[in-house]
Amino acid sequence: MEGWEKVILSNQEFAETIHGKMGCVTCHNGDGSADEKEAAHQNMRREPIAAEACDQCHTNAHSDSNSLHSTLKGYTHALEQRTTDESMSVIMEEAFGNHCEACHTSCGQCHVSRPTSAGAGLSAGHEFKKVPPMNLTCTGCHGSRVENEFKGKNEGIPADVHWTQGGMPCFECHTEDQMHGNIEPAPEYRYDGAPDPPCTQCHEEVLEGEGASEHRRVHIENIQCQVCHAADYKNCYSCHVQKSEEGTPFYKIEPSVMDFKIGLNPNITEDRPWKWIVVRHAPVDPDTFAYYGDDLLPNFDQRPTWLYATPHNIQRNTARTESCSSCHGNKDIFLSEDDLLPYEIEANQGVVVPEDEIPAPRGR
Amino acid sequence: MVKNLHLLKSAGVVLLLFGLALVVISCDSLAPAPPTHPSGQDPMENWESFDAMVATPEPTRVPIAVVPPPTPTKVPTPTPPPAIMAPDDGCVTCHSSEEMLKETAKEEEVAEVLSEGEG
Repeated sequence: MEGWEKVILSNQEFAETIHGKMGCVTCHNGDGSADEKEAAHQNMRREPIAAEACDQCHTNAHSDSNSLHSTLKGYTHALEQRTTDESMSVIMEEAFGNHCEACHTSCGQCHVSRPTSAGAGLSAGHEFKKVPPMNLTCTGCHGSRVENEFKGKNEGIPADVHWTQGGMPCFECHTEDQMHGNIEPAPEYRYDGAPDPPCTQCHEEVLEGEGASEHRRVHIENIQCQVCHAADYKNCYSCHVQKSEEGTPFYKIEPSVMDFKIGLNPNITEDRPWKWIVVRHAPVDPDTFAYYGDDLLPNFDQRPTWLYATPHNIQRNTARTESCSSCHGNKDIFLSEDDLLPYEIEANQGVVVPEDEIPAPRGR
Repeated sequence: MVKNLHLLKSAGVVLLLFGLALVVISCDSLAPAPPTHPSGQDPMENWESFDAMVATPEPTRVPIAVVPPPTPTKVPTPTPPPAIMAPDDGCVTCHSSEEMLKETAKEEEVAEVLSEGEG
């Protein structure tokens, strides 16, 4: 979108809507009586503050502050595990704002415009969308991994059956409560707490062992659903953030690799009790923030780089469901030290599958 | 029986009135002669002198009561008028015009994308 396209009130009927009747200045400040742009934009807020604007009527808007999209707690959670207080403060001073905060969203960035990180701009002439357009908001940001997986844009990898056969957009699973942070307790990261939604919310029969002979208890209780039903997915490596001489933030990242790895769950909980999980490589390395200071991730080894994942390319039949030997006795599919780069061997000790723990071959 | 009572009552009233009349007449005849005023005049014929004779106390001046004005009838408090919305004609005029926006809505020059690799 060009600059003017992002701010044009193209919807003539907007003024007659309940939001339109509030008047521009009510939410955006500024001076609506001025003729000149500079004067009109004096003290203007491009992005209204939810607590002051939306919350007047939408009384649950304040809970947006618990939304991970708003708090970015998932980012700080990961950083805190790899940093000290001192190095964390260095990162937060500039690097976080330059490279991470763009993902922060507000009410308007889904319901009125495109998210800032996806280019911003009114999505429908300032019309308020109760259900934001998925392609502009959800996959506008979650593009390179989730959208490509979900819609089958990775070459040779089919799309998720929930999309192609179920016709299910993102919000069928990722509910309003989740987006608005109406969850107690408020999550610290996206996989905090129980799966939301759990597969068995719809596929209850699996718990009873129905659907396939492999759905017997030893598998159901010990194997994450995605281990059998996800296709290959993107793994990213070595992201380094920095600024240009002009002060423009940017990043450099190594090419991604399509792969599939089963690892050990380093954080078994009641909500996620499986021993075997799908793990995806995150593009962090000890020098990710090197531009901003030395050794800013001194506790790098305290958190794996191969992380619990839920690839959005679910299939009924995958390479794992072909036969028992797809997993049993198949070392290649399990994460091993051979899959690790030198700097991350220590960090992934709790995830790597020792050879003697690989399920023994079984006949079928 | 009732009629007889009424007759008796009526007769009684008549007798009473007759008696009163006799008393008045007799009192009048017994009324002393009016005092002879030294001037020989009947003071009663001269009201001014009569007034002089009759000492009447000065009337106590009573402050005129100040009657407060009537309390006005309370008008029902009207519903507060809707807050006067800040005018936004300027906003709408500009932001509805493609021509105006093309001229004024210029984004900062986009820095060359320096990032390498997929995000």
